[in-house]
Amino acid sequence: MNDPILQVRAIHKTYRLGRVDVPVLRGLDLDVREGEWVAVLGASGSGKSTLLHLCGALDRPDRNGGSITYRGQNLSGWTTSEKDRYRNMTVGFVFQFYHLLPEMTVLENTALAAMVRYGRFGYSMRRRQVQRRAGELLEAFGLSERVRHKPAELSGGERQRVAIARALMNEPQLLLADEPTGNLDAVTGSQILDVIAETHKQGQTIVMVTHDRAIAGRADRLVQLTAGRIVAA
Amino acid sequence: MRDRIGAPLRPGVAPRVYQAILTRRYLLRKIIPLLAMLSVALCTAMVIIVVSVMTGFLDMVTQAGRKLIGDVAIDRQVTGFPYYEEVLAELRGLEAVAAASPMIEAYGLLKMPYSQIAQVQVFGIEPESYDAVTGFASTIYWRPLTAEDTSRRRFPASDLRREDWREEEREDDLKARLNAAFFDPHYEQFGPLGPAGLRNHTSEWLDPERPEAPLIERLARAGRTLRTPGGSPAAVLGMRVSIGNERVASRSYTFQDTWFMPTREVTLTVLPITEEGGVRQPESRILPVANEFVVERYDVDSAYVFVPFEIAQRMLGMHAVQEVSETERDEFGTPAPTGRMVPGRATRIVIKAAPGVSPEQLKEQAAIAWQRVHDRHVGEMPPVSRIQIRTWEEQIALYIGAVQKETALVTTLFAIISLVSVILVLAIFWTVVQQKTRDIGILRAVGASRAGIAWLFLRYGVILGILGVIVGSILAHLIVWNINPIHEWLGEKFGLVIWDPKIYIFDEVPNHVPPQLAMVVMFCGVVFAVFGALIPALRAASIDPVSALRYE
Repeated sequence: MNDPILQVRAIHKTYRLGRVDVPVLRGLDLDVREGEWVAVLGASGSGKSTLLHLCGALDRPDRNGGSITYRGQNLSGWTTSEKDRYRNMTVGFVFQFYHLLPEMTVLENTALAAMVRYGRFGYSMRRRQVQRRAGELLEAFGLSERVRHKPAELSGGERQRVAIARALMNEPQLLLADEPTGNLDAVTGSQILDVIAETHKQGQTIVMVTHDRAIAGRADRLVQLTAGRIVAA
Repeated sequence: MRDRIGAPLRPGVAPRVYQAILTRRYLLRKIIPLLAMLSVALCTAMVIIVVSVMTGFLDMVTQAGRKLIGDVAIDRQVTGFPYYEEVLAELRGLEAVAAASPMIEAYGLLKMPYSQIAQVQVFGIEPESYDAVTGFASTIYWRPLTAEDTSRRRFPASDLRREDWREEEREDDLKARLNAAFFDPHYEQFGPLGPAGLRNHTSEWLDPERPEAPLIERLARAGRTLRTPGGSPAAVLGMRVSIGNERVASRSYTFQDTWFMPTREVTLTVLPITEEGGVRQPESRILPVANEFVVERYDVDSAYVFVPFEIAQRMLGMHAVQEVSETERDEFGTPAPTGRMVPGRATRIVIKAAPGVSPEQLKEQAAIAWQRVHDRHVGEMPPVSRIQIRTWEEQIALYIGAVQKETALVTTLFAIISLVSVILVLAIFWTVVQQKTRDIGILRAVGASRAGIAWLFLRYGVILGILGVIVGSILAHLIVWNINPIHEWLGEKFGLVIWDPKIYIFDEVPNHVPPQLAMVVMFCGVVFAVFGALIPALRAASIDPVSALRYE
């Protein structure tokens, strides 16, 4: 068995709603091994998205609230710019509501992570390379006819495929998918899962959170998130 | 070098392509930022217009104030100083001096042909050397218009100085009008001014050498030389000395027919003052009016009268005379001459600097020249400390000081008002950041740094600022260049006359944009826009990415 690339240990996360502290994660543990597809199953409000945000260094756990280590390195020890780079190159996010930039075309949205990665000069040196990679991803997801379109001109399924292409742009070690089919009908949702399964087949490590057991069933491993903890693995 | 997560280190604040793309798209797709740009444009235009008009006005006031005073003047008012010819000779021998001219200044009363007495400042001048120092001839009003004059301004068809008036029938027309002026009922009513009221009218104004010369040319020449064509000493009056002259647009004057001053006569009365400060009997003299002059400075145009230097000198008792004994009498019983000459006096010497010599340098040289003459006549001439040697700026400091302060004040006020654009840009950018909150979350999720997000909006502010100042500057140029037609149109359409030519020295609003000042205003406009964008940009950078992603 591979070593875990991501280790979540005794993680606590509390939100403050007005004057009330609402604990969302209460000592959660999770290991993700390289090449694994882990599905985290949980009800709405159980802290699934929070877990993903923590794993993706978009958010941080409570003070003394456990640790998240990526390849042995504690994320909380990193500087802001290290976290930015981690989000840019090591993880790729896929969101329930796609979160594409409405002003950019499909191709530009896909290449966004590369645009963020390189300075203007560096980007212009690699423009062809970047566009080729984005074009390949879009072609693989059946979107080669849509590269010049704006997100508003696409269907939900198409938008989510663009979002997945964007997440994979910088060849991340870890794909973090937050209810990737939550906003889609069953048929389209299933197509999206096929796309994710295809990337997994090529060795992509995936953490997917969902409330739908049937969808979670497509993953290698299923864990249940209840009351802020993983209760079944 | 690589960091802990194995990525090559790179500066996180280097500009990114996504910022350029988003700035462009935000600019083209949204109306709100265009409003921010418009506010920057309007503020820039407003300040450029105000700065242009006010500095133009100050420039005009300074230029008007500078006329007829030379670069440096040596002054000793009322009693004047002797040996001015020697001072002039010393000055003219200096390399720093281009020209120098003596003057006599006194107060006087001028009886006008229409039974009005004006209080005037009388200046005795040597027309030729005075013109060399001050360009006096160019201020003469009644002269044929040159091609240069007409190329710069339009003149009404009724203007006596127009080319057309030199044609034969016009000439007759002018003569007829002048004749009418002489024999008008008013004149009959008030009677001639003394015994010579109608003296030599025809013979004085007919040029014996060039009898065919048009009257306007004769007038111009008479004005330049302070002599009638017949050779009599004559006076040149400020254009507003005669209340019959009225200022109209295009720096022109109209006159009521009966009050056309040139070719008529005035009686000048002065009070001679002795070297010791005593007062003698008032002196009066009838002088034909050769011409009128305009420097566009009300206090000058309404009170100055130029007469030939020797006339002023004689009337004021400042001419050179033989000294007579207080005790000895000659065979006729009158005081006997001592054989010594009492030197003539002048009250002022005006000096023009040679090219490349500053008024301050000239002032020092003038003091040295004075000292040299003083050393030859110790006891007869006041020392340098008892006379005034002033540059033109020192002479008009009081006159332009108020306008200078006003210019600075108005410019500062408008600059402060234009700070409103900072608030507008801030409010608009705040809204834009609000609208784009989710985009900010998305960008952070794909790894954009806080600095990158701040720069996205700051850059947006810089570009809006640059576009705004360019649009504002174009607008300001168009308005300033056409400010006079616009002003005229406002006057015709709405009766709105801001600059009344009868009152202000400028009937044309200054219509030149000083390029350096415009550049400063434009630079400040961009800085203001960036200031306005700064707070929203920092706010955008500090937005929590998780809440941004959840933003509806």
